[in-house]
Amino acid sequence: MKEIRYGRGLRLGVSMIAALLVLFTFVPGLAAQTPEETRDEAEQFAARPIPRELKIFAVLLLVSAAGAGLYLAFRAWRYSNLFDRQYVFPPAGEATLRLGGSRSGGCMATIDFATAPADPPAAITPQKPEETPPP
Amino acid sequence: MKCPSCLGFLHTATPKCPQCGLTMRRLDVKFGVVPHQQTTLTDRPGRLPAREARILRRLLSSFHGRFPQCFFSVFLSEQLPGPIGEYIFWMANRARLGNLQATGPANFDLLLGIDVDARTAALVVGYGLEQYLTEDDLERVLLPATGAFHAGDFAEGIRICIELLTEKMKSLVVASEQGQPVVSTSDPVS
Repeated sequence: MKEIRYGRGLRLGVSMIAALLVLFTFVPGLAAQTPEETRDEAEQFAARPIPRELKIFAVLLLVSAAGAGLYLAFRAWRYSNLFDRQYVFPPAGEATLRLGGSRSGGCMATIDFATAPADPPAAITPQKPEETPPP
Repeated sequence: MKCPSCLGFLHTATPKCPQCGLTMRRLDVKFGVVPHQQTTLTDRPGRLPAREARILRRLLSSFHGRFPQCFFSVFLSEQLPGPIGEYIFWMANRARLGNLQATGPANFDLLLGIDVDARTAALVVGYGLEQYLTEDDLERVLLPATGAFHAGDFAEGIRICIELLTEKMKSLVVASEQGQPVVSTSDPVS
């Protein structure tokens, strides 16, 4: 079976890469030169203004994004509990389970709203004093 | 404490109403499969505008933020297979609302149900809140919302209930922290 030898080829490859690196580093002519911008091109670029519509659109986009952010922040602030505390009831003692309910024993109130609610009591509603007809 | 079905007085920790024989098992048979409910707000008949529903969901979440023990759920329904009292009592015990592990005195949940067809509403609390909120208190929360419910403005009625309950429960917690008696004596829990 033929023995494969890598030693010589590997050394040759490494030497060639090193030589290329040295060439490109120290010989300036071989490195790619960045073409300098001519004066005409620079003037042409500077003379081209940003379209007004684009400016307006950008400003509108910024304003609407800021507005949406403010709205969301206000909403989050309003419905969060930032400035209020948490209210915790002390643990309840024994509860008497009723009617087979494990979570609620039926402590409830019900209303029927088919009919309009009665007027508020007279004590709450300010009433004008009845005018007595002149005799 | 009254029976959710016949409104008869329940004296003791009875597993069955002595007047009408109501039990949870009987309600299971009557109502069948528990309908799917959202944790905060379920509007099955679609009576709430989308924007109002969003606001109410946030209010209910905010309520839970203030009272971390309590989940306040609301449902609007139509064509209920029984009276709202029976149905809400069954839902409070069977529906997957709030903290499912919280049973007995550890349950501080609240459930408001509105039957838009029968035009009735009910508010029920868990065992944990029974020693703080009586049936009279719950009625005082529901009654001011009657006008809005009657006018078909369910969002406003629900909002009134949430606000009144928030204020009432805040005052109860503060009173209990200050060592004042908060246990109701008007409607004793037997």
